[in-house]
Amino acid sequence: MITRHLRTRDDLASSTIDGVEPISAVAPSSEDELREVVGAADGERLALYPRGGGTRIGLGGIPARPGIVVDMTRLNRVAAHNAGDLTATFQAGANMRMVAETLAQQGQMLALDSPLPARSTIGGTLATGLSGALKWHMGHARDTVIGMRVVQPNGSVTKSGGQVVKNVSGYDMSRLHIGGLGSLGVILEASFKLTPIPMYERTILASFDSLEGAMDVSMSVFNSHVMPLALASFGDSTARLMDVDPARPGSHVAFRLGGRPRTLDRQVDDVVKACREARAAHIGESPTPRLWRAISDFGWDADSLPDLGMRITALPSQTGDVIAAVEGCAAPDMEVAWLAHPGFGTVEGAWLGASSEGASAEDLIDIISEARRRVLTLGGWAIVLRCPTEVKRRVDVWGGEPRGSSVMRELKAQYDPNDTMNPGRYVGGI
Amino acid sequence: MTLDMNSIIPQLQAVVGAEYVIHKPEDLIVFEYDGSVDRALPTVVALPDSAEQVSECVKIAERSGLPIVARGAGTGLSGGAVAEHGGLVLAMTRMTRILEVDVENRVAIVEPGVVNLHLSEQVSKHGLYFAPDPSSQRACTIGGNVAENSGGPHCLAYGVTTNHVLGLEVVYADGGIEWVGGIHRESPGFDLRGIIIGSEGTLAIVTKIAVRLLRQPEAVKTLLAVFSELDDASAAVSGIIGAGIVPAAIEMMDELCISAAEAAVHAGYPEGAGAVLLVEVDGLAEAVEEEVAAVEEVCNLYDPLEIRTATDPVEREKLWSGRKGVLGALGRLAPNYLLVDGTVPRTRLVETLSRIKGISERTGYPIANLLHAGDGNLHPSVLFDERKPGDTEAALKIGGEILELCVEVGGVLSGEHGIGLEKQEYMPLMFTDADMDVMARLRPSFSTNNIFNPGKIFPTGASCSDIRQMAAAIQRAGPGAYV
Repeated sequence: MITRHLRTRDDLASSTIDGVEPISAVAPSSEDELREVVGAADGERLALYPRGGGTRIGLGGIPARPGIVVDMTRLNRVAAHNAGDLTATFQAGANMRMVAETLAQQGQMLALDSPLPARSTIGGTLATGLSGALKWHMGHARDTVIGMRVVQPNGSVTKSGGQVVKNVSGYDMSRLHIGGLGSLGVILEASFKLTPIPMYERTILASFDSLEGAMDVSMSVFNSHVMPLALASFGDSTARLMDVDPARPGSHVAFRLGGRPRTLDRQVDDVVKACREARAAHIGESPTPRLWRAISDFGWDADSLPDLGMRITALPSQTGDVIAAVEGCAAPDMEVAWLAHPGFGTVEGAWLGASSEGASAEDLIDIISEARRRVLTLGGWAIVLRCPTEVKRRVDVWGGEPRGSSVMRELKAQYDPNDTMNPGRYVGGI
Repeated sequence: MTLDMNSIIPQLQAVVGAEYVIHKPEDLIVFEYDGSVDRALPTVVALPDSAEQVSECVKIAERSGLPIVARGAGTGLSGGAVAEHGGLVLAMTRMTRILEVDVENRVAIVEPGVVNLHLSEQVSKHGLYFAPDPSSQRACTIGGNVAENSGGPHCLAYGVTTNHVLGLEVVYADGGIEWVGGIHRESPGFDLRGIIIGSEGTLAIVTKIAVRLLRQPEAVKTLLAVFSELDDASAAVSGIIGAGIVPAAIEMMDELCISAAEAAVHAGYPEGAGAVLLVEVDGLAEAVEEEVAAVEEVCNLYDPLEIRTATDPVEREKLWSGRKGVLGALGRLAPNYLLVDGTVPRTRLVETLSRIKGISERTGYPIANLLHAGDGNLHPSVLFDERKPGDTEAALKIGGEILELCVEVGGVLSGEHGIGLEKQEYMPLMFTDADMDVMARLRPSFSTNNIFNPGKIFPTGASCSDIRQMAAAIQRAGPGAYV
């Protein structure tokens, strides 16, 4: 029955993960087909690799063995949008741009700003669990989900949560799948709480001669009454790669502000004042949708695709130290760019080789270990978002065993006893 | 299970100190109940003072096959802290230290016995607070909030406990101590933190909690709107949410609650009040002014009898007084009440409340409705008299009918009190056997050996209508109950 869904040789090539070509690629068109595929693969001890838009398919370790790639993009329905309830339910293959457009018709949004929304999907965004810039205000990806339906490896569909915003009925199983990289089951459908789109929005972009200035203003806004929708900081290399011109070189901070007219004015006033106090070299305004799209896509779109991408998390107050660590880890002939979410303590580092062949694996491995060494002294942690397969053979992209890894392995044994789901790709070799 | 308590008690005493082990029947009674209707006497109670002591106690109980129930302040409303199968109750009320407050990063590390409000009081000098605010916040503990994933009136805008907890130090059933999550906003691997929060003490025992603190709002304004019809108030709630306003809180009371509150605290509601809405908006001064104006505009569309607003803390407290006093005041209307907790989609509030009214009229039992309306979280209270034969059973049956109604209109069995003992038999209304099987497999994944809070959450095999076992235990939800 699996061969029924087999597609062309080209599909197989584009579904290759880290050089591991799938046995077949299938794109189920219904819930039943998906269940059939998953259950059959598990029964025949074949590995399954769920795939959304493929934008972040490289995240994780090298697949343990060839298997079936399940393309989810045909399961893309808006199952429900209850505008009056500020909730919506989408199938996992729903495209993020379509989701945003659907919700915007009712003045609502989903606070998940994933990269490349024209391609990325609900399921992929949740499975990777990497929150975008909106997390500053809206919190984690995991905080937006109120219910989920999942195809278990045996092909059964189970649900947890519901379609209401407040609920403690049974265990919240969705927690295992958000950021779980499809290692316990296939996300089939997710319900979300939504956010009203602010009446008006403006983005202030300030440039500082020193990194300290940029960090000072970030922390002062973080600890003020102003609550930006998003706040991100980046350097000159990043600005160039994003095709953003901040008017002055240095370290830049972007503030995304929103609200009713007087509220917005007050926020702009406070932010501008904080920037002046931190001795900004330049304070200007930037077109909101374009800048935040570029920030979201950074490190993932074709123009800025790095040889090495890392995501590092420490305490908010350590963001400047993490940026310094990232900048300090460079090899000759390599450009390093960083994008930080200071109130969250997260920094994304991107390393790009100057030559067309890209950077050598040796250099990249050195950078990863040096960055990890520096971050470890801060008490933080660093995962590799993107790197060549050769590097993955020699470096654990997850940075070793996380706390709780023995329970995590038990979870894997309980829910995916045949090691069907995305084998070898998650933390601790799960 | 044969238990040699003569051997277990000295072992526990050696770990926590003789004065912190309670085993005489007359002393154990205080640990028999929580805020719900359920009761059961623990075999022994220990009050540990550290994660290491918790770990040692767990090992002792595990060796003896003694079930373990962790307990905070016992304010829970679903029987979560009731030791249904006896066993060891670990009362966390000695572990009340706030271990660390990192003002700059707005993170605190606390022990599970810290009273919810104490944390906010302690960090208020830094202009910070802990957002989850269950109505029991003067008594309930943060460890208990974690176990039940508690909400509160203000979780409409700020989310429930899980949205404010970054990491947990836990003790597993083998006595192992480990942090899941941490002080950082992200960490790699499965979100074990998120799984343990709301697991009602069935997976691990929490011994430290890293919480996120919020900045106190610059301004707060409370609006009280009185309507003659419940339908109008419900429609106003949908109107506010539909207008893109998410206030910090939207609370609602129906006519019965109003009359009880009026008699008890003289809140000054006008004649003919059929429903009261309390809306609180906080944030920047400008945001508060603009949003309250928008809320007022929506309320005015539904023929309010009266709208009052207040920004001054004393005045705001007056507007809240009726709402806060209402549960205690229900005692004036009937000797007993059964408090039901369920959530429905906000757009189904009007329909749900009118059907609850229908149930009340059909059965002859008055039902008072108190709602965290902004979330769609209902708290209908069925008024009855346990001294009248059959009354208790009838009230429980009505409670079940209301839960069925919540699920039927797309809602859930519990908004904030948990499943515990109270609602386990109703789980099949929402979940299939396969759903529950997947949930239940979390316990072996955490290698709990089923010693942590056994017999909770999942159905025991009794049918939904078989509620006599609960009826036998029913008491009025006492003065310790809050919603």
